[in-house]
Amino acid sequence: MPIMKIRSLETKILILFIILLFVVQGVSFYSTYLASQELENTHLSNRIANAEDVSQTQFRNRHYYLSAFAETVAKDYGLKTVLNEDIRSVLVALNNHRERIQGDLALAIDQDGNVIAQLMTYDDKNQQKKVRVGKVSEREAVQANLELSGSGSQLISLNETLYQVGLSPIQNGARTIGWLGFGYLIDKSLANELAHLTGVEVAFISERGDTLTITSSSLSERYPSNSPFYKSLVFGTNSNFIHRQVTIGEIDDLPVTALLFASKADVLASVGNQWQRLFLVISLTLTLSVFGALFISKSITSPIRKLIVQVRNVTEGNYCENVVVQSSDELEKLSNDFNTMTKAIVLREETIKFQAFHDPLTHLPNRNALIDEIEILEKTHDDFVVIQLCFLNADEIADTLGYDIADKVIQHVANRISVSTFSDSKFHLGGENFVLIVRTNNIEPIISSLLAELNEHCQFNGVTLHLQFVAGLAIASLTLRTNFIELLQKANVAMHYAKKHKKHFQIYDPSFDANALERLYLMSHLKKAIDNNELVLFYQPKLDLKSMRIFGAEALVRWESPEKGLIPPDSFINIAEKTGQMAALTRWVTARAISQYEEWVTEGIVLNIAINISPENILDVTYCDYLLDLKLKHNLPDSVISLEITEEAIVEKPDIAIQQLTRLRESGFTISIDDYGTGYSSLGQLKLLPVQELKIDRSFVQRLASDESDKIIVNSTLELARNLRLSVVAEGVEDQATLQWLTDAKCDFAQGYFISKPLPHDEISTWLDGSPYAPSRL
Amino acid sequence: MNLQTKLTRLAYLLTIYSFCTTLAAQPFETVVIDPDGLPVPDMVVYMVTHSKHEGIESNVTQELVEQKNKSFFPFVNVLQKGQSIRFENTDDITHHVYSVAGNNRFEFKLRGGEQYVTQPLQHPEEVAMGCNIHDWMSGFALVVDTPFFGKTDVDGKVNFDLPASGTYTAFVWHPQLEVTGNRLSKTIILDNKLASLIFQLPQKIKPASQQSNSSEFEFLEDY
Repeated sequence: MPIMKIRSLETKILILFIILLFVVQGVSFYSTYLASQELENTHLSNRIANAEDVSQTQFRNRHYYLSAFAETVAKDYGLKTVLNEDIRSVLVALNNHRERIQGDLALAIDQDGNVIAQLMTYDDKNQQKKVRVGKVSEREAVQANLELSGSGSQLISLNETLYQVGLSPIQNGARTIGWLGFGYLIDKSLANELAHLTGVEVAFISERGDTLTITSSSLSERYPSNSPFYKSLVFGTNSNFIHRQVTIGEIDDLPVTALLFASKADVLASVGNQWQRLFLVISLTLTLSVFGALFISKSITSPIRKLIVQVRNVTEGNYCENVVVQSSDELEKLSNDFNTMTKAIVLREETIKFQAFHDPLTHLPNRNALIDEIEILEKTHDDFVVIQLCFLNADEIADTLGYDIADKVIQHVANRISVSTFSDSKFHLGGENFVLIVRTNNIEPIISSLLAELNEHCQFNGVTLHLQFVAGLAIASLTLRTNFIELLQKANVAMHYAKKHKKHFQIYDPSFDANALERLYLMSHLKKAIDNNELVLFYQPKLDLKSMRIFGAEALVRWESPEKGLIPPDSFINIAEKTGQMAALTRWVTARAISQYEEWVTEGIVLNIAINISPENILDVTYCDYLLDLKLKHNLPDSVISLEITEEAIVEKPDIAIQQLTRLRESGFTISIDDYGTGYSSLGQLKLLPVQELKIDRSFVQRLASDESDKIIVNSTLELARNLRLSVVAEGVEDQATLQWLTDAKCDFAQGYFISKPLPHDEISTWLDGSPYAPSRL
Repeated sequence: MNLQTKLTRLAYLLTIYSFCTTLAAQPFETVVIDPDGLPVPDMVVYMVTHSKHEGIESNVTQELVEQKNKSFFPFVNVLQKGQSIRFENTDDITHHVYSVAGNNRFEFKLRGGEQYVTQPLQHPEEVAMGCNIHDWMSGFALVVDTPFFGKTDVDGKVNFDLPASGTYTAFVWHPQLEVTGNRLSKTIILDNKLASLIFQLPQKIKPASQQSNSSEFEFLEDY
C-alpha cells in the first residue's frame, strides 16, 4: 500500500497526538497488565499458600489436639486401673472420653499391642452419628496398621476410610502398660470443611508412584475419585488450576496428602472485574484524549487557517480584512506581522500601480493609463480625439543643455499641458511625446488654441527656449481601426506627417497609411526578393569626357516585384539598411555585376562597373573578403570594378574604413566617393583616404549650366581633385550645356540622363550600337 | 609312707573336698560392664539354681523405697518373693503410689512423713510403680524367686555366697535394659574353678529416668 502523504497540519497534529496517546496508554496498559499479572500471580500463590498454611495448621492442630487428648486420657487413673481387668468398663470410659471430642474412633491397646477395645462412629439411616464396637476384623486391621511408638498422631486406613489417630501410652510409672488412641475421620466432610476454611478445593489422596488413590474430595460431585482430573493436577499438566499438596501422613510408607486446588478463573474472578474496569477507564480516557487532541489540533490550526484565508484574500487583492488571532503569543505576533505585511503590500502595490500608470518624471498618466482610458472611451461610443503632441528639437536640447535641463523642459511642458483646459485627459508617453484626449468632434479650434497656449517662450538656466509643438490627431469616429491601440498609432502617423511636412498639426488621413503599408510590405518581402532573384541591375553608362567614349556603367539595383511592379531603390535600400539586409543585398549586387561584366566581355563590350556599397559593407571584413574572393575567382583585371561609397561611412569609423578601403584599393579596386559635397567630410580626411575618384553630387551638377555658384563649387572641386590626383565624375548631367561645361572644365567623367538613363543589361549593347559615344568593340 | 596311708590320705582329701563342694558356701562374683568395658552400677543380678532347692529360707525383711524430692528412691529395687516394700514418704507433700499392672498390685495415698508397708509380694515379676499425682515419678521393683540377688555396686560387681556347686542361671535385669524381659541371662555350672561371671551389656544403660517435672515451681508461703 503506498503511504499516503499527510499534508494537513491538523491531521498531522491529531495523528501525532493519537499516536502519543496510544503509546502512553499502551505503556500504561502494558505496565498495568504486567502489574496485574504479577498481582494475579501473587494473588494465586497467596491464595494457595494461605490455603496450604491453613490446612497445615488444621492438621497440626488436630494432631496436637488428638495426641494431647489421648495423653490426657491415658493419665486417667480409673481407666488405667481397669485396663487389664474389665474390658466393659474400659469401653464405657473410652466412649465417655470419645464423646468429649466427638471422635470417630477410640482405641485401647494392651501392653502387647493387641486392640482390646475399639469404638467407631457410623451414620445411621437418619444420618445420625452412632457409635459401635469394632469387630474383630476391624480390630485386627487397626492392630496391623497402627504403629505403637510413643505418642503422636498417625494415619490409618480402615474400611477404605482414612482416620487420623492420636495415640498415647498408658504408663505405670515409667513402664508402658498399654495405649489409648482417638481418631477423626479424614473424609468428605473434612474436605468440605477445609475447603470452606481455605477457600480452595480439597482432596485427600495417596500416591503410589503414578497411581493416585483419591479417598475423598470436596469436589467429588464434579470430579469423582476416578477422574483423571486429579492426576492432571498432581503432575502439573493442568494449567487452569493452581494446586499444592500438604503431606498429612503416610500409610504403608506411602505419602497421604491433602491436595489443595482451585481454578485460576475462580480465584481471579474478582480480578476479572478489575480488567473490565481498567478497560473501561482506558477506553474512556482514550476517547476523551482523542477529543482533546482534536480540540488542541483545531485550536492550533484554526488561527493558521484564518491566516490562510487572509493570504488567499491578499492573493486575490482583497486587503480589507485584518486577521485577529489570539490563541497564542507567537500566532498573535504572526497575525499582527501579517496584517502589517498586508498594509505594506497595499502601500507598495499602490506605488507600483501609480508607477505603472504614471510617468516617473512628470507624474502624468503614462501609456498604460492611456491604453486603459482609450479602452474605456471606446466602449462609450462617444466621439473623441486622440492628440499626439511633441515638441521639436528635443534631442538638440538634451545634447546642448544636458539631460537635466532636458528633463526640466519636459517637466515644464508637462506642467503646462496638465494645467491646460483644452483637453479632458493628458498622458505622457515618455521623452517629448504627450497624448491628450478631447471629447469633441470639432477639434480644429481647440487644437489651435492649445498650440498657441503651449507655444510660449520659456527660460532654463538663462537660456530662452522657444518650444515648437507638433500635433497629430486621430478622430475616433473618422478613423478606421481594428483595435483601439491603432488609434494611437494613427495619431502618431499623423504627427510624423505634420513634422515631415512642417505643419503645426495634422489630422489623420487614411492615405497616410498607404506609405506605411508599402514599407511594411517591402520590409517583409525584401529577403524573399533577394532569394527569388526579383532584384535586377540597371546600368547607367559613364562617359569619358576626354575620349567622349563610354568607358563604364554604374550598377543600380531595381526590385521587380511580381505584385507591385518596379520598386525604386530609394524605397527599399533604406529598409535594407535598417533591417540588416544590406550585406545580403550588396553581395547579390556585387556578384551580379561581376557576372554581367564577364557576359559583356564575351560580347566584346568592355565596361568598368561601379557598385554602390553602403557604410555597413565597408566596415564588414567578411564583405571585403567576399569581394577579394570573387575577383580572384573570376580572374578580373585591376580597375574594372569601382566601389562607390558615401562620406558618412568614413565619418563613423574612419580607422576601420580606411584600413578596409586601403586593402581593397591595393587589391585592384577603384574607390570612389559618392555624393561628394553633401556630407561633412573634411578635406583633411579626404587627404588620408585611399580613393581615386570623387563623384560630385547631382545637386551641384543639375543646374550647373545656369547656376554660377554651382560652377564655382564644381570648379574648386575639380581643382582640389587635380591637386590630390583624383579623377572626378559628375553625375546628374541632364543637358548638352552642362556636358560641354564639364568637358571644358576638364572634368574626367560624366553620367546622367543626357547621356543615358539607367538601362537593363540586355539593352546596353543595343544602346551602345546607336550611341555617338560607343566605345570601340574588342 | 605306705599305700594304705596314702589311700587313707587320698580318701580323706576327697572327703574334705566333697564336703567342701557340697556343704561349704562358694563365693561367686558377677561383674556387669557396658559395651565400653566400664562397670555399670545399680544393675539387678540374681542367680536361679537348677537343682531343686529346698529349704530356701523365706525373707521377711522389708525393702525400703523412699519418696523423696518427688521421686522414688532407689529407682531400681530387687526383693525376694514374699518380701514387702515399705514406702516412706520423706517429702512434705502427698504421694499416690500405685502399681496397676501385673499381679502384685497396690495403691495407696501417703501423706508427707508417713510410711506404708505393702502386702508381701508373692508374684515374681516386675513391679512398676508410679505416683498418680506426680506423673513423672517412677520406680521399679523386681520380685525374684531366689535368695541370690543383688545390685551392682559402683564397680559393677555383685558378690554371692552360693551354697553349693551346680547349675545356675545368672540374670541381669534393669528396667531400661532394652532386651526382651529387660534382662540377660547366662547359665553356668558352678564348680570350684568358676568363681566369677562377666556380663557385657549390648548397650549403655541410660541414666535413671529423670523423675522430675520439667516445669518445676516453688510453693509460695500461702500453700
